[in-house]
Amino acid sequence: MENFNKILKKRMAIIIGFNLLSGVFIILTGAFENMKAIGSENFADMIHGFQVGIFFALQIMMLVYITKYAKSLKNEDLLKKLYIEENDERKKLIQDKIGGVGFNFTLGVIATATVIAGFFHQIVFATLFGVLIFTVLVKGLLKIYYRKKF
Amino acid sequence: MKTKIQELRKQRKLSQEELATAVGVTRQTITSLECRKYTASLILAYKIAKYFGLTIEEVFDFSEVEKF
Repeated sequence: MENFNKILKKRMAIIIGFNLLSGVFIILTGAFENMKAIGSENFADMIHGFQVGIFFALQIMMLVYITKYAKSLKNEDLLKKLYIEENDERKKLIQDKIGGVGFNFTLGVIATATVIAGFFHQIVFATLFGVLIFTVLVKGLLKIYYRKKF
Repeated sequence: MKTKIQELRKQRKLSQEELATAVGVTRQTITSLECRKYTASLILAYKIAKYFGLTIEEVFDFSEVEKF
C-alpha cells in the first residue's frame, strides 16, 4: 500500500503539470485564433470551440482526479478502496478486452491530431473529429458489452 | 463456473462488499462470480478459499473443467 501511496503522489504531480499545460494551451488557442484554417467562418468558430472545450474538459477531469487522490492520500480506507478499484481483476479483464493501453493511446493521439489539424485544415479536422467520435463510441459500447458479459 | 461463494457468504452472514474488501476486489466481481458470469483467477480463488478456511476445490466446482 505504501508503494501505491508513492504512485498516487507521482500521478498527482503529473496531473498538476498537465493541468497547467492545458491552461497554457487554452490561452494559445485564443492567441492563434487568427491562424484559422481556410474555409467556412462558422466552421472555424466550431473548431476553436472544440479546441478550447477539449482542454477545458481535460482540466475539469484532472481537477476531479486531483481531489480524489488528495482525499485518498489522507484517508487509509479511501486509499484501500481506490487501490481495489484500480487493481480489480475483472475490471482489468474488461480493459484488456477493450484494447487496454493501446486503445487509450490511440485515442490520445487522434485527439491531439484533431486539435492540431484544427489550426490548418478544416476537412482534415472534420475527418479526424469523425474518427475520434467513432473511436470513443466503439470504446463506450465495448465497455457496456463486456461489463454485462462478465 | 459453479461456486459455493454465495452459500458460504450467507452462512457467515457476510455482505458481498465485506467479502470483496477482504479479498481485494470490487463488489461487482463477487456478484459476477456468484452469477457464474466470471471465472476467478487462481490468485483470487486462493484468496477466497483461504478467507473461508477451505481449499479451492471446496469453494469452486471443477467438474465442468474435468470433462475436457
